[in-house]
Amino acid sequence: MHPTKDDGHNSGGPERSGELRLTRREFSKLALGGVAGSIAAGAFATAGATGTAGASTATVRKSLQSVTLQTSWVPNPEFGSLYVAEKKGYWTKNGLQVTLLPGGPNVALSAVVASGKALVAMDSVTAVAEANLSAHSQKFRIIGAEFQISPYAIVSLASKPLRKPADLKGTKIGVAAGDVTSFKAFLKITHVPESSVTIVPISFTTTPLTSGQVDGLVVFFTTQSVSLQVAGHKTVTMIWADFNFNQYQHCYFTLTSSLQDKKKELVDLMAGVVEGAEFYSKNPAATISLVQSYYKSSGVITSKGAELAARKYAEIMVSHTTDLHGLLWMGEAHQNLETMAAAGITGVPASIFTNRILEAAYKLLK
Amino acid sequence: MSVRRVVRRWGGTAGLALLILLVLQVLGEWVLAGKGIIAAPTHVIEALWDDRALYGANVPTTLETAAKGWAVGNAAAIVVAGIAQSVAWTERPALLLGLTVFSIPGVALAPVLEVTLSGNAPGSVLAGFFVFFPTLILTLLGLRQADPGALLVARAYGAGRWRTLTKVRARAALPGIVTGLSMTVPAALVGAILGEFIGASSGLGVMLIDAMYGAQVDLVWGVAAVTTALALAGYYIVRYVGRLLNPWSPPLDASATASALDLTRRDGRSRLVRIIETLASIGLILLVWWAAIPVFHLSDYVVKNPGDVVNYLVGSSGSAVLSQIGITLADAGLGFCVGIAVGWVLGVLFVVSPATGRAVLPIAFVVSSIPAIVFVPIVTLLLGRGSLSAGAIAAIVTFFPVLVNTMFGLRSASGDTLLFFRAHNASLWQTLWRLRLPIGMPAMLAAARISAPLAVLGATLAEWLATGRGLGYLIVTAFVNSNYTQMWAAAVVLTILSIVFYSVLSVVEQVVLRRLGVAGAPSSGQRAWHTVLARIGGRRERAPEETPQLGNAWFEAH
Repeated sequence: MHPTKDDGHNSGGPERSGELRLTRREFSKLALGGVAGSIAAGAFATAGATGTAGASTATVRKSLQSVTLQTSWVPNPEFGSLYVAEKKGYWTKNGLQVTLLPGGPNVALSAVVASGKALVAMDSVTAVAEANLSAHSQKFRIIGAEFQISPYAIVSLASKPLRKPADLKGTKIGVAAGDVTSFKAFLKITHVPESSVTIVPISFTTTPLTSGQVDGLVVFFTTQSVSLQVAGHKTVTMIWADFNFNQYQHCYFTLTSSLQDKKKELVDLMAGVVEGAEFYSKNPAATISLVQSYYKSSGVITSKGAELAARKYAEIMVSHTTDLHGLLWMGEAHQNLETMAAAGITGVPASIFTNRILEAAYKLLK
Repeated sequence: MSVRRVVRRWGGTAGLALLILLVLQVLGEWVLAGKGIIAAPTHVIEALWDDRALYGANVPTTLETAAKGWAVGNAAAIVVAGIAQSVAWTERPALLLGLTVFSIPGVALAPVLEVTLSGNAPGSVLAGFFVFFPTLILTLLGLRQADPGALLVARAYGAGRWRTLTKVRARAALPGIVTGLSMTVPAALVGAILGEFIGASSGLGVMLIDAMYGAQVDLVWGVAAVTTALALAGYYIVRYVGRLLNPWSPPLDASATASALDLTRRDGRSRLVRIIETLASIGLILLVWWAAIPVFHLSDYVVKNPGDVVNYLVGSSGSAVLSQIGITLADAGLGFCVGIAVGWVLGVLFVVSPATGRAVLPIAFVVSSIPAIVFVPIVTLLLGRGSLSAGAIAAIVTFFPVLVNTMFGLRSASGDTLLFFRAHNASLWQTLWRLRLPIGMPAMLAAARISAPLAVLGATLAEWLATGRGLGYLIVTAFVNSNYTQMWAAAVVLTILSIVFYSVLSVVEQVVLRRLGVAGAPSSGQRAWHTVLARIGGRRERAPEETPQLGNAWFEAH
């Protein structure tokens, strides 16, 4: 019962090519065109709702190759690059119709890729390595790392600040089940004995910190830190990357078998992601205003903190490596493996990262 | 209803609700201000108004998902109950299947639903799973208590099984079905929300995730309030429609509640037959599990078969799962004991003092409809993150169905026996001890038994959100680490624990009832006589609102 996404979404967008920056006028034209399109389609509330919408669009554009991409969370500024690619037609111009599947706290990312429901999903390096361990093979490979700098951080209240790793001794830290491995790696790297910190299990809420049940929370400084700030809490954020925690985040991964079988789709897909990321990293505010008109049902994207979060995401997309090779490029495989080894995940081959797809994607974009 | 009657019926509730809102206001505005735990009601209302467009964009998605699951799950339950009633050997497999579906931890189902279904269908399936079991029991219960006189007449006129089912039993089952349809509304909503946790772009669950992630306590409570309001509205709408359809039908019978869904029930068949049936049922469930993998082309990376699970459990890493059983049993046991104690005591209190019951029961219903994830922070703040919290969360999830069934059981003493006691100048205490408790005992014990899976699920929820140990935490850890074999093993162990816990309680129940001399249901003749008396005298022992609600809070646990 989802309304069909209308072509109007992309109307007014630039035709393509290396032209990534839009002038302000071009941008507002684009945004207006998009809004008009969604009104025409009656798609206000559920624009961006995926699944069935993707299927019906595919029948409209028979010539397009359909591909599904699973995101790791509910609609969120984190996926700005993908929204830009979708709305500006970076995929359709390469003949690809991409369905973005929304995620959530209980999404099983590797399962979705393993079952073939999605060609590509995104997760942390550790999660992909763990999935390979469970499969007893190099079942999954990482084909691009959007966040070159880890967004992991520990947020604490300004009244009881945790500024450096040594401050963690004797504290209680709230950690979600999915972040425990990374947190232990961080403690190891910063020489804080694990026994000196009490790990308190949390779900995905910041309440344990604001209610004083824990001294700090493991968060992304791009999201929870921002929302705590917007909600009026005075906080201090200790960014792990500042203390030699080197780990990619938001890694696009696929089945090893797809590297050959679905190479063309993967290249087209990643080319669009790269273009989206280039736009997002340079225009975080414009990206947010672009997607705000499509994700009206998302409290996060429409919130005051969205633009601030977007700016932080834009910062962690770029590194020395990306300056040289382009966004998403993975040049620090060994640092990542060392970080994982600190968490006790050893024996992961460097080939878990492959730049093959990105290479071809960048060739396509030239 | 006259104004005075409305005031008498709802005045207490309204007063109490106001008092609670006042306390919340004081806590949210001053005592716990800025802590992000409790939002002052005025702020919640303000936020509700400010975010009305956001709610408008999200509520329909969740409602649609919940409605689909509710409709299909309930329809399936009614059909299965009809089959189980007509074909004797299907009853045990149907009940065991229902109990299994009821006991599987939701988080373990997530990956399977996610890879096999698209869009919001996983939420609908979860909602359907959550509503299936309560409606199954209630329908069976209703089918079983058809008026023996009417059954006899039907048989005398040569009606076969099918005709008896459609013409006599179906009519008798209507109140039970209506109760099932109404009480499963909150569960369907929670199923839909949980489905959104697997992946969604809009809905109340998405709002809840955003709000919790974003430290927006007003929004968290707003979503909880809207969810509860929808649950209440659905509940009363279904009841109202049900009453229009079936204005004269007698309410459900307490003694029948007790015997319904008793896997160890003796029904005249030999022990051997019962054992064979139970084993065959288990075999059938295993077969379905085994066959589903190739039939639905499920990825063996995600879905493990029974053989994989057994190999894992007996293998070297199996101890990771087995070593957690004790912890979860202790958490569930504590929650179960506290939950049934609270349920029983309140139930007795509410029957002894009906005014208190009238005032407090709707509030208890509201409390039991609030998604557990919202109240966990309050519990951990008060009780810390140890066994006490786990027990408390399990108890909150458990107490409500016990309370309602206890009240229902205690009230099922018939009007003439009560009159007899009154004529002999029996005190309140004597009436309770010598009449109400013995008559209510079967329903009270049945409620305890049905709450066992709830206590286990409540404990696992607490382990995930509060204590970080036990099978509940292990299953989540296995899930996030893509360790699907471990996840399936933990899910299977949890499901078996629930079923064993349930079956043990069945045996205990039978022993207790036999010792007390109240074993088994009163004869159909007695029951029919009471019904006749009630009709002639125009007396109604129970108001329609007070028909049994088996397991209104269990969905919290999923």
